[in-house]
Amino acid sequence: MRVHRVHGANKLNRSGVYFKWSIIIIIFGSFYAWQRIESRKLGYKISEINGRILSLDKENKYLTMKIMDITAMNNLEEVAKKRLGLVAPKPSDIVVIEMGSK
Amino acid sequence: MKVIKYKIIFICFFIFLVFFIIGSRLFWVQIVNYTFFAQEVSKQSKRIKKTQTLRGNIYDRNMMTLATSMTAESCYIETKKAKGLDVEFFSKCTGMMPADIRSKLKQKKNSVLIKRKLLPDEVLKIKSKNFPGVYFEKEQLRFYPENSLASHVVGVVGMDNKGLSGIEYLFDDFLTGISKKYVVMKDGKGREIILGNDSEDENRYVVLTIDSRLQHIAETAIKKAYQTTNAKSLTCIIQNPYTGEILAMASYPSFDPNKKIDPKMLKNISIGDAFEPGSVFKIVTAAAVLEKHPEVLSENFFCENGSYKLAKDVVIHDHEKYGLLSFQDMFAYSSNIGFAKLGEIVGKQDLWQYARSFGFGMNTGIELTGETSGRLEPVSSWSGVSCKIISFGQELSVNALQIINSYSTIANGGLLMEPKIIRAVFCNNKEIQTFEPVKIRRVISPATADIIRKMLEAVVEYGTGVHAGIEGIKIAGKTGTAQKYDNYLKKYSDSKYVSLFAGFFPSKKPDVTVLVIVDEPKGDYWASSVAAPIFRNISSNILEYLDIRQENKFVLK
Repeated sequence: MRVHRVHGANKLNRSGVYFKWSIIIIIFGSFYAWQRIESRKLGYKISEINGRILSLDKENKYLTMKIMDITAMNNLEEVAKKRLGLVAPKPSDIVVIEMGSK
Repeated sequence: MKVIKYKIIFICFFIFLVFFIIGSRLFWVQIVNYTFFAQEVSKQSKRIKKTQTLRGNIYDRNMMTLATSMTAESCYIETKKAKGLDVEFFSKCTGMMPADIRSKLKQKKNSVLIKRKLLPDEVLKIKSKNFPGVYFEKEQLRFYPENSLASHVVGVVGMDNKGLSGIEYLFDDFLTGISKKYVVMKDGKGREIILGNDSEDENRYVVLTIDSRLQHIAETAIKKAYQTTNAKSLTCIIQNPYTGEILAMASYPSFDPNKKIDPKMLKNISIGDAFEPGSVFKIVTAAAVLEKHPEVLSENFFCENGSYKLAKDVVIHDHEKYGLLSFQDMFAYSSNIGFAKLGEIVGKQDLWQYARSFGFGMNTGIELTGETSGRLEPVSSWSGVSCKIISFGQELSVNALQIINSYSTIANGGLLMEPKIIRAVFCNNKEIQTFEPVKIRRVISPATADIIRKMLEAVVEYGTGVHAGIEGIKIAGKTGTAQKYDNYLKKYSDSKYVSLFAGFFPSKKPDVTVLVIVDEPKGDYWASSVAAPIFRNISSNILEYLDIRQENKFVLK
């Protein structure tokens, strides 16, 4: 009778160990799966952000080029002359005052 | 009860068997044959994508962009899917004629290229309509923000971004850069994850010695002069006489590298054209005389009242009839007869030697391709009158760079410098190649250079170059009017001339040397009235820009 009880207790102990291990494995497994899913999700996010960076870089470059085009010296000169009516001084427009003269 | 027990055992056994089979299969797939299956998955989901880094920029000395690149897209249409395409809308977006688009769509091909290198806003407009069968492929677009500025120096690239001329050609491999590899993983939905790339982005660029503002000054002036002189072409070069750096190299007609170009326009005439220099060459004769026969400086020469017979059929003339002239006056009034006599004093060998020392008859060493060395025959093939004729700049041919380099030699006190157009080459902001000033040789002594400088000042003060003078600053320079040789008629042309002015300022300690060449001006062709005023126009703008007249204050009227 006593022996039977000990055998039953051992059985209970063993199944408890199995249960604990199963729980641990499930926890670790879930954690591993969660971590994989999250890292994949982050991968997608990084890819998407990289794509956005590239597209914004492209747009930025295009806008910079537009600015360069507008501020090209030929264009500026044309605007200065035609729109603002500015005139470059001719050599004859310049009066030289020698050093020491009043 | 027993039957139920067996049934449970059987079901349990069956479930166990199913899991065992699945488990075994997983074990076989994941552990036994892991490498094989991992490779298979990798083959299907991972891809290596290649991208070409953007072609490197070209900058001027002040880091102003002369050439840059951006991503553009080429538009293709799958002809079968594109039925009912809004051609009018397409034509508005791409700037193409509707008829051209229709004819492309009629081609018996699965896919046709509609237009290459569309700009981002054009692409966005087309993409917004979601036309079926329309797709895009990425390409690179080369852009020249300053349009035609320094186009002959910077050069152009072809449709496939290969350099065709100028710096674009010279540094093609360097500017093209590396092609980059990406490892990309694709999932079932086609979404991509970039896993890594084999190399970092490289930022490669070339910095030129050109100053965009000086280049603009030169180009604006020669463009204006092109209309007034009706010349075949005009050239202007601005150089730093102490370092040999080219600050501007302009020629007109020029081209806009952003547009379609006639290949004939690509030639850089500043280095690729050879012509007789005429009187601007007289500094070489003067230098040879002063170095070898300094006593001549105090002598007067009879200039034969404007006509001098060198040989039976060879008679040379002066612009005006001159009698006795001093060395300086012969230079100031540009007497061919006086210089023919000086050539006789110098002698063949010394004249050839000095011409060679000044760099004539050989390449200057500039980094650009397509330079002509000009022609300076060896003394052995000179005729009896060659020495006298070469003394005033005929019977030899030179390029524009050789002339400005020889004037810079006078300006810096007698040192021939190697002309430079490239300042440095950079990779990831690290200077990987520097182009330091190179002294080629000492051609004349500082004392001789000083005497020639004073004679050049006299040219502008009261000689043939008075129209080049600017109030408040001493300019040293020389005019040159050369008849062009007509290869068809086998004699000097009566109607084709090259008009030149070369000079530097402020003459005592020059900041810049400037050369103006007007090729085949119509009507008036004398350098004193054609090239000298252009030089004056350019110089006065340079003075304002470089603020050279710091010592002499000036006010606007």
